[in-house]
Amino acid sequence: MLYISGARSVADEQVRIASTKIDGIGPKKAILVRYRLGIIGNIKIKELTKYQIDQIEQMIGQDHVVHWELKRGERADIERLISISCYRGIRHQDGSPLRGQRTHTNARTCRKQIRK
Amino acid sequence: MLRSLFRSVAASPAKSTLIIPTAIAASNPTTSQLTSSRTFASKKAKASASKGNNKKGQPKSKADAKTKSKQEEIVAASVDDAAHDLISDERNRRRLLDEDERNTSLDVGPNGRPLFTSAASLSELSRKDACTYMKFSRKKLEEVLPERLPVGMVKEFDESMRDALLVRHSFLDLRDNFRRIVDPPLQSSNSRGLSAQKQIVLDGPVSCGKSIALAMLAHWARDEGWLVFYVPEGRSWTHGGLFYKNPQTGLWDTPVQAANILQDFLKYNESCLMKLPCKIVDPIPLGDGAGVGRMKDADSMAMPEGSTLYDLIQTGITTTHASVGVVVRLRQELSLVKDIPVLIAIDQYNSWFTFTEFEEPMTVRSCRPIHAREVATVNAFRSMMHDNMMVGAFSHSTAVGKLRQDLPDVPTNARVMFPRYSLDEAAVVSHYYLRQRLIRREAFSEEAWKKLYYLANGNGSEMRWLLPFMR
Repeated sequence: MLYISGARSVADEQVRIASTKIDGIGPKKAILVRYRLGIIGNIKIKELTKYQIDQIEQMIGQDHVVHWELKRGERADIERLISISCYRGIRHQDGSPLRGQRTHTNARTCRKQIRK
Repeated sequence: MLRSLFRSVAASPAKSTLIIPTAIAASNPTTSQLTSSRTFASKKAKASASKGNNKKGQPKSKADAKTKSKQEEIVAASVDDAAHDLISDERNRRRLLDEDERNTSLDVGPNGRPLFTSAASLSELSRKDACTYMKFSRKKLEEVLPERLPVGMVKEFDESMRDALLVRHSFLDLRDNFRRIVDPPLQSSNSRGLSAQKQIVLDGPVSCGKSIALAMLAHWARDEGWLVFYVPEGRSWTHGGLFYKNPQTGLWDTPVQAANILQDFLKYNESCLMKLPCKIVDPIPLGDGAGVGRMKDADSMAMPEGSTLYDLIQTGITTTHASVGVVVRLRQELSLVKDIPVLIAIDQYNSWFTFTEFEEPMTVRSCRPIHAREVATVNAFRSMMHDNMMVGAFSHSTAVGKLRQDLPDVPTNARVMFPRYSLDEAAVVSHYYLRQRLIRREAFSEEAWKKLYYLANGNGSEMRWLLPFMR
């Protein structure tokens, strides 16, 4: 088992799929990172050298917000909304949907937070 | 496998012609799998029968149920028989072919002509040997062409169960063209004065024999002692591996592919390369290695004095940073070799005129596909605007699509349309497949093979697929 930028990667997995396991890296960013480093999509994690893995980690760390930094940023945005007591902040506090959805029925996903 | 099943069904007209896909799964020589397939087939037959019952409604009487169960048994039995035929058919055919080897009276082509040529090598073939088959040895072929045999050739050998190829007029023209370049005749016997072409691009319809002709040309050239740079898969230069942009040249380096190219070239030509000295003394530029980045201390690598081409290639194989530089240098060195004739033979040449698998990221959201001409190795070998002998064969197996008539870096008269089988060649092919028991003797007739020839439009692989269905 290998860890790339904190995400667990299976050795037999292709690089383009393993890269998307990192929080904050989706398919588009995974392609961008690969092509910058000259790696074709069907190359597997076990075929990468240590230099290439270090390069991937360096590139992801420099150019992209991933993992706890991403989560911290999201949390900070939510707390800002709550602190200024705006409508969206209140909805975050209540655990209700805040993008104009109906609450008479449905809204189960948002209210899952309260039930937990 | 499916074709063998069809053949076995065609060979046994008295039996049911019902073909169920389970027969393919059942085509395993082990008996246990046969019995399991038998039960599976019976279950499937039962399931299909029961579905039919559900659709139509309940059977009206017990007699109907009995007849239906009998039908299911017949179906299952026919499936088992087909599976048995499939396995035994191949073995029987091989056994009969081994017995037929001793009977030389069967080696007869159309109009009583001999089916096989007596020429021992490709160099000895003459116009009289056209439309006959030449026997090869697979082992020797793999020694002479260690890079890889064309897929079509391997298929032909496997399906006909003999390592033999048809000698075609088009191949003899190609061979004689290059023979005339190296050994020009003193006086041209032909008043038209056919001029020899050094650069040829073999184009033509699907399955017309381009790759096989190219492989045979490389075989002939190596038999003659030439130095042949044979690339059986041009597409592999633009797909797979790693790619890095070289800031000095502006081209894209592919170190993994470059190392493979050098290894393939070394396989047959090792002894020849040891005798050829390097004529260019400039240092070899270094680039990115495969997964190891650039060298910090050096930008180039000097070759020691008195190095041979073998030393150059070994340097490229052992030093990953120098592999692309060595391939480019090798191309320059090959153009300076005057001691022996040099032939560059590229299959899937059309894949060098389209985009590669690689892309360059331009913005945060978009990438630009890289064209083959931007790859350093392809850029070194693609051009035909030189004085060396070069043959490129197009391939329809690479999904390149239609290219324009006037290709860049290719002489306008270089493109040659390789023809499909003519009627005479189709006659010989049909007799050969009859000899190889792909066609039943009682079903063989001139009218029948001509029909199949026109149906396939001269496509060799289609004819090979259709001929066993001759009735």
